Amino acid sequence: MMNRKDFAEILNKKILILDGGYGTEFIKRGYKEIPAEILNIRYPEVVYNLQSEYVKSGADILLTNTFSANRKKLKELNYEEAFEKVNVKAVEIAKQASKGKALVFGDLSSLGEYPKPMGLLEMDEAIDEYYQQAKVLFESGVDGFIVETMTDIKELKAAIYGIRKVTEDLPLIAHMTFEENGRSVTGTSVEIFANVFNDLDVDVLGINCTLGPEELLKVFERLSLSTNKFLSVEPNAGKPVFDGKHLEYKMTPEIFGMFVEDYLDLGVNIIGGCCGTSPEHIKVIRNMVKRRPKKIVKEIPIMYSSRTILNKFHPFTVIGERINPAGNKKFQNEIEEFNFENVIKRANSQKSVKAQAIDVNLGIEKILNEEHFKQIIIELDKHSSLPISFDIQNIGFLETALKEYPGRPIINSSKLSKKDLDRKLELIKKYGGLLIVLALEKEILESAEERLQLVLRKWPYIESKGITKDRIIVDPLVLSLAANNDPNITLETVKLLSQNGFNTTMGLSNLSFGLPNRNYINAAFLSRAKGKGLTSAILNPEDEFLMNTLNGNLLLDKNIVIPSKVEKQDELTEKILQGEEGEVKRIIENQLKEKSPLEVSQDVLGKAMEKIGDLYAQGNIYLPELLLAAETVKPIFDYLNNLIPESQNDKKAKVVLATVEGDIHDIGKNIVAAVLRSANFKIVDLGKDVETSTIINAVQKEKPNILGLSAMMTTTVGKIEEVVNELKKLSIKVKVIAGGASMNRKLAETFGCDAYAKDASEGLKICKSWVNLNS
Amino acid sequence: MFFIEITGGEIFIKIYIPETYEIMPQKKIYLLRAGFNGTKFQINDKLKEEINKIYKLGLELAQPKAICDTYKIETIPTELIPKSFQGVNSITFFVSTLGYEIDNYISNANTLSSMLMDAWASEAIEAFNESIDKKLRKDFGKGTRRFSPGYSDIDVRKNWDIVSNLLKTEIVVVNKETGIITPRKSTVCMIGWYDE
Repeated sequence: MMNRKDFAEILNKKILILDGGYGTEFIKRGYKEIPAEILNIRYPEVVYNLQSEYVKSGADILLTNTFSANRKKLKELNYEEAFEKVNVKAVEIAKQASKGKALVFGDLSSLGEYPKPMGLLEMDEAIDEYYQQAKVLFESGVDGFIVETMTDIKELKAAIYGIRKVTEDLPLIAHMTFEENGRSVTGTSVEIFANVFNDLDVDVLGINCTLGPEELLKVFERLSLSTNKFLSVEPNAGKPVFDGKHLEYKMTPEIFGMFVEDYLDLGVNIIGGCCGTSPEHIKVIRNMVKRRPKKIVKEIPIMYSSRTILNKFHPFTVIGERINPAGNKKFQNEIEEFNFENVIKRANSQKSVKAQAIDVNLGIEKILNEEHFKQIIIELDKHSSLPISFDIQNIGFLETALKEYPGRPIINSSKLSKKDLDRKLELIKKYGGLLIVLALEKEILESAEERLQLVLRKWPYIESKGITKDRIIVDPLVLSLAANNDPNITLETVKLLSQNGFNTTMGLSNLSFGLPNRNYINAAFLSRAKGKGLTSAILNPEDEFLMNTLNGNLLLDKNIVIPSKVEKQDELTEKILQGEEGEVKRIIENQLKEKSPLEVSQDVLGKAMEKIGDLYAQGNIYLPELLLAAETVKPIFDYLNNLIPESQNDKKAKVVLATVEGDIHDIGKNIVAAVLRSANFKIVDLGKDVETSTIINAVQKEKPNILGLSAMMTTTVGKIEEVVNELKKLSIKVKVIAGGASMNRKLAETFGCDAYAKDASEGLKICKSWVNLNS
Repeated sequence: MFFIEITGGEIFIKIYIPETYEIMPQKKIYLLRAGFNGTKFQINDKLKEEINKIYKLGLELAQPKAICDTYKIETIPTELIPKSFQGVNSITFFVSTLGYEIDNYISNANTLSSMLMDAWASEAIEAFNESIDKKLRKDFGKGTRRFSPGYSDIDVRKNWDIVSNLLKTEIVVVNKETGIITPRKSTVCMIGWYDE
């Protein structure tokens, strides 16, 4: 058995290879009529052979052949009675096939029916299904678990809760599957997946299935930027091709392997293949992994989420307070009778006025039961609500709601008493999320300093539970003005907490209970608190005056960018660098409405290319980028040249280029030609393996400003000297610049050249210095 | 796969046609050779596409092949033995190539594509040689570093002697005057072995 610490140590040192496809391989091997998992008991040798091949190909982790071996799925296939046997046998086969060289991870996936609201399954049922399967796998001796190909975040949560109920000691990999747009079919984005699972008790986050390695790369990059957990990936072997009979994945192992390094660059720790991949693919992956894992530590902002909405906590989070039936008998009755119409309406209206989260406080907990809380969360989820702040007093109800919640919640709130803290910290550890703590243990403390000291005193205890500061929000306590409380104590507390690096929130409306013009008072107080560092508030987002005041404050803090109409600097250069030929053409066509073709060629396109040439010469872009730019403008220059009368079109500095006799490879010289062309030189390219006499004739005929010669081999380099001597003999005046693999500065001097350039960039600089292009 | 010839009980490799993955260069090195020196800036999407396109095309166009033979030191002309090989008992000579299709592409594509292909193929032949190198070391044990004419004390024109007189192969052509090998993406290499 592998403990989590050991596993983490391995992952810090080494990139692990997962195995490849199972279902598609079994079909390829002639077993398409029988569910893949049933092979474990009917044809164990088939599973054993495939897994042995994976180990031979270099897989470090074998997955048990139990992808659909949960009880629910097997029941649908009429194999329920084989549930235990299939799973036990799967571990046995994998262990044998691993021959001690690979880890064996228990493989779990979807139950075939989502938990509510996406399906009809109760969350507890879903958790239990996973618990049952994980228990058998665990008792059979797996080294860890992987949950893969999950499309519903809630179902994935159920799997994690179920597995962690069995054991907290084994490594656990959690995968979702996403479309090319980075969202799962149930609307969860990659970032939300990371946001939710960063808190949960899993070791590795990853993505598998649906996309091939090329399409998956962009989605994976988004995951990589959103988590500091270990990362894993299993792409499909490209896009499936349907020939009218079967689906086939045709991407060859080599093409698949071509992308492996891109994943390594993004910090992947575990890489394998999904549908359509075979032992051959794994062999190539193994071959392409030639380095240690790249550790990239990301600064991840504090965020919270629902199933489909992810919001940043900073600069300020508005938590809408309006789902609170206190004092509203009708609303209370509706909730009691499971009529949540009003709850949904209030959730939607707060969303429409740009609240970022909604506080759910049903108040009347004594007359409600667990079912109310479960249903309300399911209903809100169904209507893709904002992220929720759970204002629930009864700990059992709170846990029910959290278990049911698909996103990363805010829990509102805990006192600083040990008993309350322990319970709430346990909940956020288990279900994830942010916790609001009140600056209060038993009684309300009089001064700001006392409140701060209380928080500071309790802080080490919170930290000892493994909770970091970015998961805690402190409420300094807002008391009613009408009861003669001093609002400055609250403001001062906010200031002290902020100075000590704590995020803060407050129930703003408490301040003005029972007073006239409440919104003015609330707005003024919010302004002051914001000035002291307040980072969030529970308030009425439908109070326009209040929200405008808040936005004014944010603007003063430079947290809102005023939309401006500043045009993007030099769109043309940008589009050329991006290789967007159509866009460049469009810009040029527009210019032609006002300018002559010659002006456009020289002053617009020519200038843009000159700028790009400068960027290259200064080392601000790479050579291939310059070449891409040159390729992009070439047809457009040709088009413009056709419009320019011949008489006007000959004012450029001219360069004759040649690769000398004997050299049959002229890529370097071609690059120089492209680079010089892009800087507006007129190029006469004589090609490769050019005899000295041909070069001399061309110089006499073309009368260039510069002659560029290239030699690659030690055995051909002497030809450059031959050309220079011939030029001298004939008294032909031309600047000679030499380059190529076998040339160097000393040789160029010895041969009598005017300059040596080590590469195209240097060549460009020298040619520019020789020729005043503007003359 | 190997085609193995057995002569007098001694086993050596004659023709070697690799698995495709053996000529797959690390993308990082391919990009480095193509002029992406370092990670200063983000490569734009259009270029990424081009980079991958060339990689795929390279795998399609390459026809990798190697001819390989091992000779007892006393049977080898002394002018073919580098000074640094002192003390070896035998030398394996091999010539490896990616074939003419890559050359044709480089000659006919636009500058960007041909430059990328040139970079890719240079690294692909290197990956290929690395793979042969590894396999040989497995068979022959302790050896020298891989060496090619044109470096140190062996003239580049010795390529001709090795290809025409020793290996007697036509998978590449060497210009006797310059030592230039065609196809362009070909190399002549040798490794000396210390073990009996």
